[in-house]
Amino acid sequence: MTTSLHNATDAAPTLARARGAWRLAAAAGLVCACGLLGWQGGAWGMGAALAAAGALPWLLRSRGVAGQAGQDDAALDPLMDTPRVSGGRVGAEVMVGQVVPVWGKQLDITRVAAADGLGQLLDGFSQMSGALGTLASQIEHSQVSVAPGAVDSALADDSPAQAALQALLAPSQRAFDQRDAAVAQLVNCHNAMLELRVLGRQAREVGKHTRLVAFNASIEANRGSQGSDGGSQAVANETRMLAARIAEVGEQVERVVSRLDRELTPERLRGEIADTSPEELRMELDLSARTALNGLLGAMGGALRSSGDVKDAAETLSQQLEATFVHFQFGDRLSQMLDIVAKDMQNFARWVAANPYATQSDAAEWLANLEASYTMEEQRSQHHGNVHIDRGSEIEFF
Amino acid sequence: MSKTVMIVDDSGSFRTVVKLALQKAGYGVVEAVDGKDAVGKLNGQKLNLIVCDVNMPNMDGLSFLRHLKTTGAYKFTPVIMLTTESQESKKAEGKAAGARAWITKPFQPSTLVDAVNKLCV
Repeated sequence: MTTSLHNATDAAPTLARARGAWRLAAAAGLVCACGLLGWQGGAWGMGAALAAAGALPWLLRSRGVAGQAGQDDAALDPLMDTPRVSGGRVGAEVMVGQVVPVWGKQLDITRVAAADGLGQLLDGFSQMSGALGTLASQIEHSQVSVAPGAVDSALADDSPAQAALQALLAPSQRAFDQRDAAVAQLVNCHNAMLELRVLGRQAREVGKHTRLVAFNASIEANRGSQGSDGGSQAVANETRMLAARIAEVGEQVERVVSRLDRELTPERLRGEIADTSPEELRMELDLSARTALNGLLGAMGGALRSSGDVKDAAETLSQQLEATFVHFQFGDRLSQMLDIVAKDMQNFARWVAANPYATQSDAAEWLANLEASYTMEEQRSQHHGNVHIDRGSEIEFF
Repeated sequence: MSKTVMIVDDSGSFRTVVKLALQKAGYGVVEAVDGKDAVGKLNGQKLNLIVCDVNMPNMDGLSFLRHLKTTGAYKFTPVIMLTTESQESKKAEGKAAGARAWITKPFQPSTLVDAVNKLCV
């Protein structure tokens, strides 16, 4: 279509020039013929020459019009520059009536195809946007803080981790309590042994006194044996043996108690058993937990940084998608403009059919009506050949 | 329970862009292709806001808006006009018909969401 239009445009000046040259040649030929007739044709020849001379101005004027049209209107559509009558209708109107609907169909088809393509593209971007939203949401909900102080926060008194640590400490705490109870029992035993030692010493003293009593009894028995039997001496001997036995038992008790005392000294027991207090154990556990958490969070750091990078990328993409959605609206605007232009062209074709001999003022009026029908600011700008500068989205609350 | 917004626009692309923006902001969306379709989809359902184009086939946005304001259940439902129209006379017409805001296309989705957040009942 475009190629044929260009060919026709190129041919128009050539045709006009050809018509002008033909008229010039005809005029020149007529002058020569009249001269010849006037010179050799007598009265008839002179009459024909005068008639031809009368036709000369028409021939030369027509040539001037044709030549001017060939030069000045070469840029116009050659099929519309010279009104020609065809079957009772003006040629330009016929052409407009046939060509404009073709353009209208092309515009419609292009608009529908563009709208379909735009819709599919938009669906694709919609799915991308949805996937990004899901990803961002998942990252948002799975994020773990590794900010400074994260370990302190994790092990705070009211934190779940602290409760877990206390649960870990509970068996140890019970063991410590049992140990302390055992030590207390040993201290009680030590005190009892001290009492036993005293009792053993007292037993030995009793033994000494008893031996003295037995010795005195023996003296008295010897003194009285001169006038009695040996019974008193036997009692004295038994008493002496009993005293010796009491002293011996007292010594044994003291030895045993001393040995036990050496082995069960409370200070030594505490030194061997209670070398770690529950508070120290709790602190050791807290330190171990912090070390473990630091290591764990350090290992997680890389993964979290990666998640952060993905989150940042998702946010950037989301912003880009929003900008893309704005640009999509321009595609829809293009479709809308094509539809408007197609309808305007149809209106124009109908108008030309109804007004085949339109004047300059008719054209001006038609354009004014066209401008008045615009609904968009950019249409008004573009009508006058100005580039519309979009000021972006405007909102007005009522 | 999320709030529901009805989108009335004959352009599928615009409906998609508006729907995406509103769904991302947590709104439920009901779509209609023109004023006539929107009237048919009212059905007494709870609508917290309506976003409506102006130039549409069958029933244009301003006609739909006037119809809406005569319908008891939706008399106080806020309506945002989202359109390429920027003529002051059209805006005045929309305001007189009961529109609460006028947004000129092309629009930033975030701008629309802000307006919806502000007006949604």
